Amino acid sequence: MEKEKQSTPVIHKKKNSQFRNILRRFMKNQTAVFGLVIIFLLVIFALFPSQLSHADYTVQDLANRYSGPSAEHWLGTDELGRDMYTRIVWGCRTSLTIGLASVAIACAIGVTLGTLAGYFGGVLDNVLMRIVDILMAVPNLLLGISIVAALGNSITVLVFAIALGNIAAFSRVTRSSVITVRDTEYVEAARATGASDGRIMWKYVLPNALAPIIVQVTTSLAGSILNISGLSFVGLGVPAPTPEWGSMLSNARTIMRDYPLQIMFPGIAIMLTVFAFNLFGDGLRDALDPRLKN
Amino acid sequence: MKKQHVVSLFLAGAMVISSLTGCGGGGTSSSQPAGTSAAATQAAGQESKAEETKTAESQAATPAGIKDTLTLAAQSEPDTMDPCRGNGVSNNIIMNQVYDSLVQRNEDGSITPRLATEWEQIDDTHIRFKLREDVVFSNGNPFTADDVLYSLARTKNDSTALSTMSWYDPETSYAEDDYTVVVSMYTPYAPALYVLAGGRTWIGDKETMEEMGEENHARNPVGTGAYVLSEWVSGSSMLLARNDNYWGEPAKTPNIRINFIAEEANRIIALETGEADLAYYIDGADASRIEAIDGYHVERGPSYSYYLICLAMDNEKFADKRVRHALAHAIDFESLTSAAFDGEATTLTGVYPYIAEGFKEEGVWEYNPDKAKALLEEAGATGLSFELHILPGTAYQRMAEIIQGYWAAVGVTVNIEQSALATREAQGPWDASIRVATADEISNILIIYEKTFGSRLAPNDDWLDGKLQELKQLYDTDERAAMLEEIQDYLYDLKYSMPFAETDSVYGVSDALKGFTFQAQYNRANIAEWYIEQ
Repeated sequence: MEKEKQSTPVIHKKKNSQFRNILRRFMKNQTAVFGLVIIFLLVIFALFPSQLSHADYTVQDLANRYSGPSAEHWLGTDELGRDMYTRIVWGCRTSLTIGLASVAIACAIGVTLGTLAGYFGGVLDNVLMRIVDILMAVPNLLLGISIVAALGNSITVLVFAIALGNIAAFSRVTRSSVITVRDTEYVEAARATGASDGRIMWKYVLPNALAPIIVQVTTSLAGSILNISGLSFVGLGVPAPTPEWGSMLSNARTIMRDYPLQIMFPGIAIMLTVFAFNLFGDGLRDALDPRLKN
Repeated sequence: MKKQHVVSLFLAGAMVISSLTGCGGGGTSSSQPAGTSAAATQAAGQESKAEETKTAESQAATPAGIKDTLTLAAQSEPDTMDPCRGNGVSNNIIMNQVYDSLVQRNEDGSITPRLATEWEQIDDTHIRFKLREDVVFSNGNPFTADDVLYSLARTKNDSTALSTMSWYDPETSYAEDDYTVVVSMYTPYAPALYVLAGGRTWIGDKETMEEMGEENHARNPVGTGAYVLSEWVSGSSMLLARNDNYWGEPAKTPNIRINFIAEEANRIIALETGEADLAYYIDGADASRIEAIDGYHVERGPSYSYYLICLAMDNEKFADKRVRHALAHAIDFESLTSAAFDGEATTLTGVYPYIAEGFKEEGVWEYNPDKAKALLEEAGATGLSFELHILPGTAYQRMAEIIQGYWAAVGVTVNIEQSALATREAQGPWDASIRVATADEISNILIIYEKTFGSRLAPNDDWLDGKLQELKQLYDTDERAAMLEEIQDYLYDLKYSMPFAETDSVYGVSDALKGFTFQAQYNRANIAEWYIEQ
């Protein structure tokens, strides 16, 4: 018992110092911190939309359409007299949920494929990577449009469509990262102790190949949010009346010359979110692997 | 390093600009300032050599001072130029220039001669037409009674014209001589002349069609109209050249270019840049924007088009009349119309547009959500949920979201599904939909309720179908009015359809354009009389 107590702090301290190093490097990067702050705010919006805005985003007020910003409607109302601020806040939840879910799925599948390909190499690598090549040959938006057109538009299909487009990037990044790790001495050592391939991959290879994957998560999130908006813009995204920034843009497109604010607010929301994730991703990359910085 | 930045910035800017102009031009590359023949020649420069000579020839024949090419911005490209396939405004805008019909229907509803000089009703089921003797097709072939019978029989056999041509009997219709045709009907059919004046019965040349084959002819049509189709760039534009063999008053302008620009905003841009002299299908809400363009104005008036909510008649969910009444009571139709069309449409107060024959004022259905809820409960339809299908376009989306909101307020859940008509119909039975319909004369006023028409409402009402057939057999206008009234009352109460908005036809027109007269239907536009003086 006592022995355990003694050994735990040692490991803890070691992990802590590595984490602290990364954190220190990250905090030094002001733009990345700025990105993180925006993401933090977005997450708050996504978690508590009904506390931060009206609880019902479908309330229409047909007599009060296109009204400008006021005390009652902070960002004005849209073409159906719905409160723009409410819809933007709720839209944040839509975008982040679909973005996170699709990136999680893509990450799980892509990382598995990439690890297998990178670790085993040879024929398996060749076959898996050619499949990934085929996936990469189809533009994400086109892939999304085809899937949604074939399976109908619902949030589940949308998540699947966007995830599929992201798998290729994850497996590529993972594969190249795994290749650099698989021949290191500690992996050799683990193999010499008789550890199985699965254990080696899970315990030794993946944890050390994680940095670029984490960075890929943030950039994929930004890309996915753009993709959701793109699909919604062409009318294949989130079904009405669920608010989504891309469909808000699409609705406002025809009236943008008369009511420019209608297109500005959702536009800014998309831009800010993607910008924040990109800043955060860049900062994270530099913090995780300082060698890459220059 | 800095230099590289400047270059890449410049490149990015150039890309943005080129993509923007790509959107605006709808496929044409030259933005042509109105009224310069130099620009017209430049535009013609893209065409083939043969085209250039043709243009030059027509130009030579033009009285000095008339602009050589008028450019029109239309919404969508015709899918065919086959004379039996005039099913839709976009096809007929062009076909009305390339082909002729036997008779012509005017803005006031009167029927006047076109290829037929006179006609007499022999009995209830036969009409004798005397044809013009001086007509040749654009390739020089003479026009005869044979061409009429051949063309009508082709339309009769076309799958898209089943309901329109149900009355026509090709077996017993015959030619008395080269210039006399007797059109025979299975049963008396009052709107026969309207159908013969409408877009379904263009007359093509039998000899040419048989020689060229139908498919080839559908791309390279030969007609008797004021213009000849001289160039068809798929997805982009059509060029019409004046038909020098035309039997009537020669067209005023030698060439008409029709650019197909799907987005309304881009059609307006085409007017702003001077690229087009006229644009079709302008939203009422954008009229002020056209008026603000220097040198352009708006021509508008009531159309025969109206929007309606359709509940599929063969769908169990709507079988109970109380449910249909409840769905109608849940909607404030006046607010819906005003919000969906930015106050630029009129709320329908009856079953079809008020300018169509025999319209009966029924009033706007009462907006009463409480009554709607009570009715739904009474019918045991609480928690009703169904699909609302709409056609592509942001206008439909807006209508659908408003209706979704109204129905949600009385506890009805609606999933909006947006796709092309053919796509949805191929997927099998549907629930509710928002559609647009045209009702201009007795043959089509209530066609959407006919069983043979299918589509939209999936009609299956025997009584109604019988009445609609009977209606078309009445030559006496008083009898017809009485029956129309009866049918309208029935439909208004039946509530499988909820017509709500009547829209205007709006053209954006160059101030310099002469000879324009407003036509409620875009395809009836008198293009051959249009010209711009220079």
